[in-house]
Amino acid sequence: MAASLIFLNQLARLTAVRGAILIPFLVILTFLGSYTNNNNIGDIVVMLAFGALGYLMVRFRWPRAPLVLGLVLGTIAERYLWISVARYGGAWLGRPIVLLLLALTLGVVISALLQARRASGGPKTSEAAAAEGAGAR
Amino acid sequence: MRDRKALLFTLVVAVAGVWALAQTAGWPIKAWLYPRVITIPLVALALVETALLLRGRESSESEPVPDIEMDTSVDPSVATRRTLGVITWIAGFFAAVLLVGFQIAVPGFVFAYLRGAGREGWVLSIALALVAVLAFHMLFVSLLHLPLPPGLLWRLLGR
Repeated sequence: MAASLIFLNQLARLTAVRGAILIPFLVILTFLGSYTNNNNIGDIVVMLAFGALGYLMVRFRWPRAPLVLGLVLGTIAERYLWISVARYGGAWLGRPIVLLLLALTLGVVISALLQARRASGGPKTSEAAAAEGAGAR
Repeated sequence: MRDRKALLFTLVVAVAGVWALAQTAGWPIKAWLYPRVITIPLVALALVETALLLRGRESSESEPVPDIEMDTSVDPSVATRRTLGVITWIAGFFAAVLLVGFQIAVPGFVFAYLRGAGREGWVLSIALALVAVLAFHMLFVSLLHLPLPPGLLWRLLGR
């Protein structure tokens, strides 16, 4: 992080470099970065597969952030899910904090759905319809 | 057409999820618990998306997405050509890494890309290929001592 802050201006200048010059170096770095994970060519294949998946997700407008979060937090989530199940069985779903988190999750989902419905011009209120009618007259 | 491709992608995700679920059959609970917790909602949501697309829901072109978006201002035929071009270059570099190893593939790829796709001059292409060789050897070979695969071609030739 310190190195990033020290070389911030120099790193920002990279955005001014032509794409044709940057692309081969970026491809090489992604290949080497995935290979050095386990010194295994198979990791490059995994990187290419996830690259293709990412491209398709961008193309069909699927959000990528949940996938990345799932991959990053997956190990921790799996560990603690198993600890919870081993300790409480299915009853962990009825614990107060779990219920609170479930309610918060549901709230976020429902509010997003309502916002999307409102943005797409959902059912008009009687006041809005009356205002539109008055405007037309 | 776009929606048909979106439908196909969604169906592929659903089928991959079902396949992953089938793989967990016979596993002990500790092994199958998390994959099933993830995969069952994935399959359910993919099926919901499939149903919505089959019912003729419009593509969400105008809806904002929270991260990067694909540039739709380029002509589709040009975009397809560019995409295929990039895929070919990446596949070519991967094949080169497998066949001749990183040591030759790295400068070869930089030079070929700069001359072929980038239409850069000879001097710049050769100079950047040399920079790539130097940086690669200094960082990954001399400093990190990375065990690099020699390449299938050299193995076949007995080197």
